[in-house]
Amino acid sequence: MNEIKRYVNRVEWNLRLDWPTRVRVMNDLASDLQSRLEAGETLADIRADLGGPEQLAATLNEAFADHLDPAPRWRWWLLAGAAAALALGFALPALTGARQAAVGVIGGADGPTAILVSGPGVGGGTLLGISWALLLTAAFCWLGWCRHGHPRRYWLPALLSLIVCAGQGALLALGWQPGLPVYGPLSILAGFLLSGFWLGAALLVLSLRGALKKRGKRG
Amino acid sequence: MPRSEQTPDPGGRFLQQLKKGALEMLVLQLLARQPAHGYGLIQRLRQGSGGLLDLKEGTLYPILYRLEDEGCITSAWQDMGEGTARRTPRKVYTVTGAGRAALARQRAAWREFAGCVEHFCEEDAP
Repeated sequence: MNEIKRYVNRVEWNLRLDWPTRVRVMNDLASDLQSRLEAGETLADIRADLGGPEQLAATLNEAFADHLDPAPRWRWWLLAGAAAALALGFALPALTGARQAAVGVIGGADGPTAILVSGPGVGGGTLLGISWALLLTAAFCWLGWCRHGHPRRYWLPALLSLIVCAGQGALLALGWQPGLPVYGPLSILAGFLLSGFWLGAALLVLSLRGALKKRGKRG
Repeated sequence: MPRSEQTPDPGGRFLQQLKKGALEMLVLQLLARQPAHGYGLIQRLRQGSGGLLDLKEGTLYPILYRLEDEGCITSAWQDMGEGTARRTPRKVYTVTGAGRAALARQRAAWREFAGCVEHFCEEDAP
């Protein structure tokens, strides 16, 4: 029984179909494999008739070519990255002391990021971790969840990106003082890249464009 | 490479096209007789055709979903193990009124088409 469950799980793992079709196919497949077992077939018989799980999934993917999921599977790494960024943002300051850890998280960052990490109140490393967690979650949603269903779904990554961009802009404005040293262009560029502002801005534009495009398609 | 591997199989392709055209009607026909789950349909088609219509799930499911989306059939989970200790629910398909009407139209079209083909074949027979 565990073997058949593993077989079904492997089929599902290899399916590249959109969510409603995947649920539909897996419901039927589970029902039909159960019928096969009760009709006296073994897993070996099922494999001989339908092929291995990868082969069966490939056949189903081909049969439902109009329902293939456009979302890339690597997007799940973004979600893992978001969790890691959040964990790092909170764990490191707690372990090593807020100010010291904040510098540790970003290495030798300076320029705009230096302002960010030396900001008052919550540690800069924590803020940077939250920013990246929000951005990676927004990218995850934009790559998968937003592509199905209502155009309103694009508002979530747009909102998350806007929060990050606005927050970083506000920090930059609040943290800037006339006495701060002037950094070179490379340092400023490194700080800009590390802050994730660029990703937030890009995601904001892409999400708004996605929402408008989808709304246009729905008429 | 042997020649037989290079040349296409026109007989096989022809049969495949015929099956493709008729399967939807046959699935409706079987469901009109008795509601069934996917594997039940596969078995009945295989047995009723002497193995000629040996479908796989990858071929049957798109037909079922198309028919369901068009309102010709409906599906519901039913307990199939009545009388036994273990009851396992199955997804059972049932034909609707619209499905019966579609089946009647498809059968009429099939008869007309088959009669027409038969007419040509008889004309040219030696």
